[in-house]
Amino acid sequence: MLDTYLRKLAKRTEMLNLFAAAKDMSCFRLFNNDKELSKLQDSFLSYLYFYDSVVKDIASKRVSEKVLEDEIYENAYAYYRNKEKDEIDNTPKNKKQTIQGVFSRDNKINFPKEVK
Amino acid sequence: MEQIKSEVLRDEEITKILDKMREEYQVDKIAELIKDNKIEFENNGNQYRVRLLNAKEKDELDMIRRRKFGQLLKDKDILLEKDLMIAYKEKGINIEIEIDEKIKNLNAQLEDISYKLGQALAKTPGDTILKTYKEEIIKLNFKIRGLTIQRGHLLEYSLENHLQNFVAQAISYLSLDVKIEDKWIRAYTSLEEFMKQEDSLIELTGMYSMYLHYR
Repeated sequence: MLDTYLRKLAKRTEMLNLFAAAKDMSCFRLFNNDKELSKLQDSFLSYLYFYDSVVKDIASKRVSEKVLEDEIYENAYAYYRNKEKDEIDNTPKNKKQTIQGVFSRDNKINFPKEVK
Repeated sequence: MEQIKSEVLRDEEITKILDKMREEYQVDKIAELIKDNKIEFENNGNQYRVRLLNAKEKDELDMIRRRKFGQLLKDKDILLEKDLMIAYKEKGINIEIEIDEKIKNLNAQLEDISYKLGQALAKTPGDTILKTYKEEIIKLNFKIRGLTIQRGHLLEYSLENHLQNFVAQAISYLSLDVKIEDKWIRAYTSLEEFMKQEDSLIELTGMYSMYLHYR
């Protein structure tokens, strides 16, 4: 049940607005504590990030607004989007920087070259 | 007949509204908890609050946990999860194959269908396909939950489970304060004393403290 409550709370328009404001301006705060987030606050933040991005995806027509009709749809879309992101991150072009060795055979440091 | 029907419908509507109100109340309570990691409630005329443990209390919890772990390790009647699994295997129940492997396979199926459902949502989704995937996911989740509960029952008496339950009680005890003359003080002086209180207080405290510390 807790997950359902957290989702409902994170989906509230005033919460999403506060989240957007808090990201840009430090005078807006989501929590009374500045540090040491509880596990609950941590989860809540994850939901806020998720719903904030889903609302943007809906606005840019990346996903149907039906996604917000059901928790199962939300989970599935989150999974699909993460998988897609992982695939993009692991394409050879994006991997190049990390694959290039840091040390060469003569033990000189080779800083990774920027991939254009 | 018509009157009975309309009364049943009216009752259903009332139940729905009450459920919605209860849910909204719970969501508001969670909002309160999230804001500053504290929640106040009343029980038997006393004002209580559950809050996040501070550094000193976390040290105290660590000490209580280590002491309990030592006691459990010395108890010959309590087996570690891995030893309990071996004992079950000797009796013909192979948890790894009969439960863990099945859960792993079901999870793989769940990921596969979730991906397809997510993809369908990202394209132009038709309601039928979404509902089909959703039903498949519900069935898989149901099977996974069933196996997880079965595993939990089989390993209920493992050392790890004993310790986990004990730690949950200890966290509840440490995080509960009572208001006396406008001051908040720890509600009970020992875990034993806390565990002697009425069920409603223990359950509420347990629920809120688990929300905060475990999620």
